[in-house]
Amino acid sequence: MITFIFDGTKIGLFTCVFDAYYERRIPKTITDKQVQVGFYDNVYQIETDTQKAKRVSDCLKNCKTIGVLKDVSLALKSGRDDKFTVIFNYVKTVIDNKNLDVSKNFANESVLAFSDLIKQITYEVHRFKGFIRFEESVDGYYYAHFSPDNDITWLLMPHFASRFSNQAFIIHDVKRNVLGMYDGYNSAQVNAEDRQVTVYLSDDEINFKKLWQTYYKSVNIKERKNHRLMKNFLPVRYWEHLPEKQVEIASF
Amino acid sequence: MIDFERLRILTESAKYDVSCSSSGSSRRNTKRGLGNAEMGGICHSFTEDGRCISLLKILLTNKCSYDCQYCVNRRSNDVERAEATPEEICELVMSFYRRNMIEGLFLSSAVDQSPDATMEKLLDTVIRLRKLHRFNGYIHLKGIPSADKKLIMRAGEFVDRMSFNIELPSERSLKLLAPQKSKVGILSPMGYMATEKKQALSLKYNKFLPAGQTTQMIVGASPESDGQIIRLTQGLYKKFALKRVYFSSYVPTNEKNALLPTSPVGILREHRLYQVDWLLRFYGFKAEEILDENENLPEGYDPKCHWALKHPEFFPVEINTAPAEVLLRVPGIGFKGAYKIVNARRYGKLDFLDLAKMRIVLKRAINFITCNGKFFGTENQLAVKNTLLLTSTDSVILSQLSMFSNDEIRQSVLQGEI
Ligand code: SF4
Repeated sequence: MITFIFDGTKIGLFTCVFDAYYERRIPKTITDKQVQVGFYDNVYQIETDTQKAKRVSDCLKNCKTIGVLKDVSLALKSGRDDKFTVIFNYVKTVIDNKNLDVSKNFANESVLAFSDLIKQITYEVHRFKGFIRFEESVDGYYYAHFSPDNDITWLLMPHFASRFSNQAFIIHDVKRNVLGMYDGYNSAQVNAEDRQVTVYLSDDEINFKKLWQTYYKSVNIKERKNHRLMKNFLPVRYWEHLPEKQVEIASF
Repeated sequence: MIDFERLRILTESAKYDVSCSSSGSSRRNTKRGLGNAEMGGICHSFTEDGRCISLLKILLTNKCSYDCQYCVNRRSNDVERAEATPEEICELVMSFYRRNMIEGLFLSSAVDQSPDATMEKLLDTVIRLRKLHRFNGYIHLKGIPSADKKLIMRAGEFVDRMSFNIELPSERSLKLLAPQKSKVGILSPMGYMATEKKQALSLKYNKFLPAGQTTQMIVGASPESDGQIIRLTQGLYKKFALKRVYFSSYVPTNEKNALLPTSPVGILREHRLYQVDWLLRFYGFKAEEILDENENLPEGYDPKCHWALKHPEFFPVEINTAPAEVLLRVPGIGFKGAYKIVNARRYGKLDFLDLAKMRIVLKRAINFITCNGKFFGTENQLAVKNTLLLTSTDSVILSQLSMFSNDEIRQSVLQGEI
């Protein structure tokens, strides 16, 4: 089994594609992590090379399938461990069928897997347009923390910036410690790395939280309780950041 | 700011309006305003019963001078009463909206004193929100039947969507259970607003009710059959160009009433009706194809299977050549499946293995399709019926809807998004 290890960047990934074709060595898995090597495994460390990557991206521009570069950038936001392999397989399918738009050939496993990967990301973006919860800070800006499966902070910014165009806000992915900031005019993304982010909330916040919890409780129709369905739509892993679900976490 | 007690009372009594959709409008934010509306709608949370919370659904007051038998707020019922001022509602909407808890407001009211007085207050609230608070989020207003036409039409200029609930599936039941309401009082505003909207659209003016009108009816409080209900539904779509018809299955609200059933209608019936609604709007079915006038929908399998079983002459269909609208009639093939098939077959002939790879539910579809002329199903009607029953996953009600394979669509069907 052939495995490629690389640096996890887009350029690195395209280098992998280049090497795979050049060396006629098609990897089964591609990863940016150290792997357990089995007896039959062939592991190659791929050195990121801008020149090689450029030749791959140029080649992709000449393929009939359109939007591949954009789609790959989006797919790289995935939080899944196998994302590099899925992307690689798709890119390979695109190149192997240079004169065909393969993007909708769902009977092809690589295409279907890639389309699923993309959908997971866009679906999560859609969900968090709803599940983000802001709280007002003492300094008057609004702050939200969340913990998405995929790295979607930057993808959410345009939505909130147009909705709250004159309200400064921060959305904070606590899993990756990445912050999307908007000051009322422009957006920026900041990687806080291992620095601690502290926010002081305004005193009124607790009141609004309670009003919201009251509302959440009173719209429920007891006779129709259906926890499975609710959890399907509102996965438990997101609850930690939702005030309406806090009461329940406490009573676990 | 409104207190917890009143918030509880006014939202608890509003929750039986099932519509929660925030879709259909793409209102933009203004220069110094707050908010916008997203075409597809957004769910901000989900209730314990699995419904989407998108809007703050609240009544201005639950003090009612009417006495509709099926309603918790009816005059003769002994419940806690409360009211809020238009400004209190506005403040609440703004605070929730800024925190991204909601997409907007679903405002309605019991009929306090007169329809006009109530409608005026509702209008006051929405104008305040738009003008004073510069709120550009979504507003759904439930109109008061028989209120003055001028008030109603004016509201249409400010809100995204309006609804007049037809309440019950026949005039007879309406007379019996909601004696103060009348068919004209409900239908005539729907009529003139539909006309206005049509005119506005022809002039490319999209500020009048951008998200159109909807309505709701209670199922199971009165004796109408499913066949009647879906004919009425189809008629409403045609006549008033409604965006949605909602069904709300009757939940007994309190002490015994000789006019009403004592047990709640199973949620399954409501669910089956929504499936039909979906077939009418998107799958190209006609009410007459699905059910006879006095027939009810079977519980064991969804209405599409019901139709398929009644029409063996339509099947099997060839996966590689059948047009999309024909594929959609096959049990086990939904929108997503048909989309994948139609696209994938451009690249080459599909066989059963390809379908399996695309996650078409072959167990359901097998008896209704051929791939390159090959048929692997059975022609034994009873066996076909049994597999459909067995593969019908929604016996665990609504947890898994076989007909709607995709999470988003499943959600839409249930909560009335899209
Ligand atoms: S008018 Fe009828 S349905 Fe509306 S609140 Fe009053 S009693 Fe209930």
